[in-house]
Amino acid sequence: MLKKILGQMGLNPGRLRLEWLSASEAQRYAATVAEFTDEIRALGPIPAGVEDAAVAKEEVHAG
Amino acid sequence: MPDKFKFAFMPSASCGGCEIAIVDIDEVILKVAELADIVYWPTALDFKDHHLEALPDGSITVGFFNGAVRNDHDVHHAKLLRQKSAFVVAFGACAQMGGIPSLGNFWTTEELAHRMYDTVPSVNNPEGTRPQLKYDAPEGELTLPRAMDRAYALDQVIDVDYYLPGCPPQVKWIVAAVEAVASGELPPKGTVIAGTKAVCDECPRERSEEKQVTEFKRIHLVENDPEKCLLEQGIMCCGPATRDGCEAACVTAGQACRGCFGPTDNVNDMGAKLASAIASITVADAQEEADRILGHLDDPAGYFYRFGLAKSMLGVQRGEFKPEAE
Repeated sequence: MLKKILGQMGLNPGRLRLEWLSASEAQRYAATVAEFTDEIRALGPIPAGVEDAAVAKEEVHAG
Repeated sequence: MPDKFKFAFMPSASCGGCEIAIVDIDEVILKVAELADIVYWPTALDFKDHHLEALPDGSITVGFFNGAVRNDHDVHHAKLLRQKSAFVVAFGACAQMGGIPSLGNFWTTEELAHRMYDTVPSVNNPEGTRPQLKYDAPEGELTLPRAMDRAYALDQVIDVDYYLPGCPPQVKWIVAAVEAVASGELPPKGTVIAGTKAVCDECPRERSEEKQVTEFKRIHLVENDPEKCLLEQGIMCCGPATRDGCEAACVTAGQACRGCFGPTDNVNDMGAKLASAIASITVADAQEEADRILGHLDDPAGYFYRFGLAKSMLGVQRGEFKPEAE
């Protein structure tokens, strides 16, 4: 459901991942975190600040 | 009292329901008229922008603004009302949080225009005619306001003193606001004039200790038990995250809460709170089972932010991901 919401909000659902790992699975834990970190890096930053920029722009326009 | 107060009612991107709510206070409107001069109310009388512009700055005691801020003329109106008013009240869900018009923020203005003027089944527009912002008529130049890239809540454009929530605001809270002004006992700035708890706290339906939902159903497809909590019956209800003060009006009438009063004081993001509420009542042992149950909610973002998409923390990010790109 959260992935669906992210998609609706225009965010890549790949930014969210849920894994269940036991405390004894150190290697798998490290591998999962490393893999997810790489995925997020590949996606790059979210185009943030869009909203503020838009309001500022509109204000200039409306003068 | 030497002078009468001065009130102004400014409509914006709204359905008109808020204006009806003002009239809906019945004979109390006479008390309002006794207490205050209504110096601007274009829905009721033929007021134009220049009437408002001619008033001295800060001379209006309270300016009530209803509707979202959708086009550049709305921005002008919002700023003008702010300039002329000592207090500005965001009146209704749209001014408070963007309301229904801000659901349009899921799409760009161009996508909305394309839908509206090209692809709606009842539209026949082979030449792709669109409204123009300017037109040279024989009598002179005619102009239309320009739709902005999205709908905004009022406090995203101007400073807002108080909020009267609801779709539309309820009579008793409108009266409470007017009485607060009359008595001079004003609440702290930023107060939402309504309850402080959640709709569930006012809801007369019975709740069990532990909610366990294994299926979500749409309300119009089932007979719901009028005595029992709707969520427990698998019917999506926004009660847990929504501010009270409406005396659970919809739920009492057999409808689920749609969240028009907005989030309670201790909820930051309405959608996040509702997502967490839904997660905590869903009973599933495996991911597939959870996916199946929650898959019944076709439009979670639209439902959880029905009245407040403009105020959602995530905001709608354009350009990263298009789930339904054609």
